[in-house]
Amino acid sequence: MKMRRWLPAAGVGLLLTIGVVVATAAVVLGATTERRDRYEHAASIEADRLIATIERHLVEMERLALTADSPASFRRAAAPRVSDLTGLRAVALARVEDDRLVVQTAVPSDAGLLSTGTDLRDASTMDLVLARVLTEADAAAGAPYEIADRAVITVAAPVVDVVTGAEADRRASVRGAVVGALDVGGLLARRWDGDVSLIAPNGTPAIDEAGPEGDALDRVVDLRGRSWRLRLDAPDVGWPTSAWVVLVVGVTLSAGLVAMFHRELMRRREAEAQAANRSLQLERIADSGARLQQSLDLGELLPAFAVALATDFDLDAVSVSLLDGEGNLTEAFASGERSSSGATVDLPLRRGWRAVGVLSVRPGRTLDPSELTSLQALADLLAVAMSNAQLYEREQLNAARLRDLDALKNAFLGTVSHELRTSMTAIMGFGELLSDAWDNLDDDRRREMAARIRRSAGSLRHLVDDLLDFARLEQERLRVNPRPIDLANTVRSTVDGLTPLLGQHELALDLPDNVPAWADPVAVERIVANLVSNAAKYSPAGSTVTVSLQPVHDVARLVVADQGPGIPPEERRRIFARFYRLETPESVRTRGAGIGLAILHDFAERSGAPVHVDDAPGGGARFTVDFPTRPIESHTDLAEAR
Amino acid sequence: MIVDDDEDMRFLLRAIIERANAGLQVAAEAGGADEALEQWRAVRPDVIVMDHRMPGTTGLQVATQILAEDADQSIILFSAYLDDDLIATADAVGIRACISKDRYDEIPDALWRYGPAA
Repeated sequence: MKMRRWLPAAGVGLLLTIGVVVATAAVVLGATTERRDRYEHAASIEADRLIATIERHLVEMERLALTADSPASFRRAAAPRVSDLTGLRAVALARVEDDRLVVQTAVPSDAGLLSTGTDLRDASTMDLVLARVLTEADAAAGAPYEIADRAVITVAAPVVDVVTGAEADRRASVRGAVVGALDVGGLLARRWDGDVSLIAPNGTPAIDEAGPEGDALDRVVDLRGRSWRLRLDAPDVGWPTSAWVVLVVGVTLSAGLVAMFHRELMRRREAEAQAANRSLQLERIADSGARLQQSLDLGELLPAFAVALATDFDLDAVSVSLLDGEGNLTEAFASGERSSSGATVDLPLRRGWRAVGVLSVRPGRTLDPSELTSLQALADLLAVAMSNAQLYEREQLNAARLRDLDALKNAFLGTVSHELRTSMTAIMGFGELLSDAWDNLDDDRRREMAARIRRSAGSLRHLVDDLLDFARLEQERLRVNPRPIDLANTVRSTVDGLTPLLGQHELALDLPDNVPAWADPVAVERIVANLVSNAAKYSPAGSTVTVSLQPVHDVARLVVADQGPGIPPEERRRIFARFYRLETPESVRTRGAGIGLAILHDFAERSGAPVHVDDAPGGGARFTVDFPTRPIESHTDLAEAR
Repeated sequence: MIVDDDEDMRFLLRAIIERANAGLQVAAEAGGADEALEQWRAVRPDVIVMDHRMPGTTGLQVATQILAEDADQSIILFSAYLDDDLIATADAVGIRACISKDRYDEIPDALWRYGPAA
């Protein structure tokens, strides 16, 4: 992966390097060609200059030869030339002695090369037509031409008696020669920065001035009909500055460009990686979001979500905690390794601006910012999903409650219908028997039937009263109109009318003469009737129902106690709910619609009279109702509301 | 045999049956399920007039238990609250007839119809 990332940059680098090399090579080649052309030109100039120099010296030597009558006159004529002619080291006058050429005099006189008495050459070889140019080869043959360790060439002009005519005559008239030692090599070397050599026509090197070697530039120099070869080395001066500039600039540019390209490449790669990462995070959010939509059951939803989250984000542990009503966090679900070490990341579960819990994850590594953002987004989705699930659960509970309520109402209707019809049947049946068989019945029988009719009618009345009260209670139309009353009197008169409901129970009354209270007599009647009816219903036949009344502090306390099984403490708060019936063995053997206690509780509440249930001293249930003795605030409110 | 938790109902049925004076006789009375089973096993009446809606165990449940022991026992369901479901269930368990309480005067005839001669 890393290697592949470098490939494009390396490719660009290679291309740029090739470009730089080509550019550098072009510059070097151009510079080399230019340099060669320049040296070629210079070489031609030097060759011409050489010819001109030698020619000029030859002409000088010839002039001297024409005028050299004696050594003294020669010295006079030669001295100014030696000083004037650059490169002319010495000039000598030699005479032929027995075909030998011996130096007679020289200027300067101490010139080692041409000192007096020096035997130069065989005079017979003297070129009489053309000035002769002696070479080192000539020197090797016996003539010392060295001047101060420098190679020189010697030019000579014959001194003849016969100037014109046949060559043989002229040769025969040669008396001597004027010889000049010419430092041509030195002259050339001063102007040429490379190696310089001069090859004589016979192939021997005449001059070899050492200098830097390089490309050899050969020039053929034609000197009085004889070809000399001048070789000049164009010194290799290396790369020109421009090539170095091109190379350095090129390499710098290339490096810069490669660095820029690499940086751009890395930036793009990073952007691509970030885009891919974002895409991955979005995919995770979408997947988990979809998963959260699949269930409204928290029991299913949380484990599925936690497992998917742990897998997607490679987490060691995931837990969800919810805030309860008191602000405490309670763990709702946890998965993964509880014991694993590592930091935990807590992400708030938000509903609107309110935190409703915490999603805690233990990654076991460092999460990057995009992962944290994704996890928070998923926490938000989880919060919404949990909210939906909780709403759904609440709706389900409400629906179940409504179903239960519906079932209770149906049961209530069945019970009420049954009770109504039973009482009606008793009344009609006994009435019919009395009317049809009056004469056949004795008095006791008639009285018994009449009593049964009365009792059934009483039950019927109580039931109808309850139903009417219940209907008012349901429609919120139950009203009380409290006023100052003698509660003892009201209770007494109510109890008197309850005989049919008591059946075979004994009634014990403990009522003082006058107990003032602030209450509605109708409400008191309904409260007492329901309490006594309830006591009679849930206590065994023959047992006693006690009704007592006494002023206690600022209330008038009514107490109704029975000798039945009592009411379990855990049920005492629920018995006043509508349609609620105890599930004790005694109660299931008892008929009831489940509205009597609800009605009495409602009347008591509206009368500002709290109802309390506990155990009677001898067992059984004891209901206590504390009626107020003066107007209370709720009464005022009720009056105003009315 | 009369089974009803309401004492007035038992008294009324007995009076009606006695008044009919046609050879019918109330062999036993019961105010609840346990008492009904006990009396039935002791007396083995020809016909049982059974209330349905009683606290605790219903008349239908008592009848089912009796018919499980003696499928030939003639039982009339006598209820203040009859609906189609209850009648169908009663028929399924083998109850001979269902009579609403407001038609108490039909009881003597029903006793003859579903009695021993039936």
